[in-house]
Amino acid sequence: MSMRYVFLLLALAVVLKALRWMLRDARLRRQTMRRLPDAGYIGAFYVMSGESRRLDAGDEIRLPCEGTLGSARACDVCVLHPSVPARAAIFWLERDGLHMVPADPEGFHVDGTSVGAGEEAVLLHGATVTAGEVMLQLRLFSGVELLGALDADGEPYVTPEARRRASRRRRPGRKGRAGRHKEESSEAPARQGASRSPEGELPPGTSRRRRTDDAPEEGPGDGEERRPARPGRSGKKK
Amino acid sequence: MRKRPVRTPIRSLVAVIMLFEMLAFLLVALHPERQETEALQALGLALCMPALCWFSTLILPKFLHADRLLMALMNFLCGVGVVILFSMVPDRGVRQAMFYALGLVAMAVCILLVRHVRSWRALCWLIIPAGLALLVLPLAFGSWQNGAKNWVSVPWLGSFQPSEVVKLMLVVVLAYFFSAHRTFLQMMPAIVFTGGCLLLLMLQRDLGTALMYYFTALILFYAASGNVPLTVLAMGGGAGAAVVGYNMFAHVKVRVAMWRNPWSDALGSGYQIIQALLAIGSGGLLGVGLGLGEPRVIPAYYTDFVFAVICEQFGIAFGVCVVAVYVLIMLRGLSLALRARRSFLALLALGCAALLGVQTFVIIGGVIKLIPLTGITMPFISYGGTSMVSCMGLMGFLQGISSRVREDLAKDIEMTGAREEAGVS
Repeated sequence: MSMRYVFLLLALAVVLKALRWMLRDARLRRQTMRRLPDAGYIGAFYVMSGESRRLDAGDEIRLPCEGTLGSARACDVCVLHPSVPARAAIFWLERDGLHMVPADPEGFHVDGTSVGAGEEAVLLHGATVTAGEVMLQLRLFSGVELLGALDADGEPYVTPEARRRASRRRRPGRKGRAGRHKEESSEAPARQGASRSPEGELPPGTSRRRRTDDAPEEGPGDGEERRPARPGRSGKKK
Repeated sequence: MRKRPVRTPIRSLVAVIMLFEMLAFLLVALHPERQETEALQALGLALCMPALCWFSTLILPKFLHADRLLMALMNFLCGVGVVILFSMVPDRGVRQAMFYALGLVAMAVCILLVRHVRSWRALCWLIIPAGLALLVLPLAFGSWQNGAKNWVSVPWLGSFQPSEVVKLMLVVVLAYFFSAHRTFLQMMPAIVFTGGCLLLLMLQRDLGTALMYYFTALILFYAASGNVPLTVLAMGGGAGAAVVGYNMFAHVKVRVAMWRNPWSDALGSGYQIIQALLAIGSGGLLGVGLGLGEPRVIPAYYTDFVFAVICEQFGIAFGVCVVAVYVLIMLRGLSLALRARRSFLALLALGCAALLGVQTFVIIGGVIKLIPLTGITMPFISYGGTSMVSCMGLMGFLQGISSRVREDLAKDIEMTGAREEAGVS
């Protein structure tokens, strides 16, 4: 009969040891994360313009490898500005760049070019995104090499097959914005970092991260070499 | 000075679980009414179960990069299940131990799937018709058992419950389509699949499983989309379906009536719930002792009502510890969902944790008369091969996600180190 107490004590020991283990794990994770402030992020959006009460030029908003951009707090990239829609765009990282599809196409621009509903923009390092009155600049962290970056984890939202189907649905002979950008983009290097913003355009107070391209850091005059991102690569999906 | 490595309490935790299993089987073997063959079986299990626990918690994770804490907690629950089943029906206890070993294989397969499959798209499109076909099988070839038609007999292999296998498929499909396509229309394949599964389960009258599927889908939908109006609409739809089910199926009405007042038909429909409550009450805080008490008077004492038997034999305090272990598993699953870098993995972890959590809540809530009783199994403890294999499959998904999360963290540490070496802020 006394074994009842032994079993209860053993069960209690299991629960307490497991709980202790979980708490210790959580503490260690917090310590690790303090040393790795960029863990889980592939880069950041820098606020170029469009200040508000809770947003200043030069602010850095961390960028995970996929998620949503908008003013809602639930968004992965939360841009706290009244002019930004609650859910402005969906983004994800692929081999050729950061893909972005506007959820609310009104006032949504990539490198000054408007991106329509269902169109897909591919952003490279230094590309600018305008949502509402806010302009953001994309900065990818060093080490995030787009070629092969997703060999291990690639699970694109829009698969190549879907993209091909979408482009087949477009009327032949009529080259829209998507087609024009595709021609432009064919010259663009596949690795990130080829599209650069001039150093002078960096917002005050922001640190410049090392880019992952092989080319050395360029001076303030390289702004003219900036290539536009490639909106509309897949054209309309529907 | 060399940094002292951080010690994990894994060895002491495994030692406690092994000691529990060994002592419990020795006690069962020494029971005076036990036959010689049964005593020998118990002695065999007193060696095999701790050995399996040691192998799966300390050795297997080295090769599969599994989470040892999850593995240890799962082993504890499986150990409790096999002990309690063996103490009541030795044959079933031995078979449950075999299902546990089979479940370890299923878990290893699921870990490897999550670790190595990089594109789930084709697999998901295969899973959808396969899952629906599996759920049609009991309607075509099954027979009515306990008011539901959810079992299929396979010659030479015995019978199995397809809805338990489809559970794994559902969570993968939901996680894939909710993560990969975030507009409502792009989520439609998963929603249609869930709707089809729910319809087939309603036709089978397996309402407990339908409830489990529904809540898991709802949780994942809200987590993926954050769309409150549509989630509220789906909740309203579920409430409407519950009302329709209540009016359509007579046994649902009986279950609800027995939940409200089981004493109105104490020897008929309310018999099982009353016996379960009496068993829990007679066990008291510390229980009557392993192998003692009167568990056989409770109908379905080795499946749906196994929690009542645990409370009777080991006591309510032990029952609370078992519930705490389930809660710890859920918390670990949620923590994995929060740490996963890919939304697919995050939703898969959340789906597995939610499925296990809902299943545990529905069955324990039914047994203690917190909610109306529905016939589903208690994860890792109730007797049943399909249930054991599917629950361990879910655990395999969680283990696989855990290893992916650790890999990602290692990559981050490497990248940060490289950046610091390069002198970049």
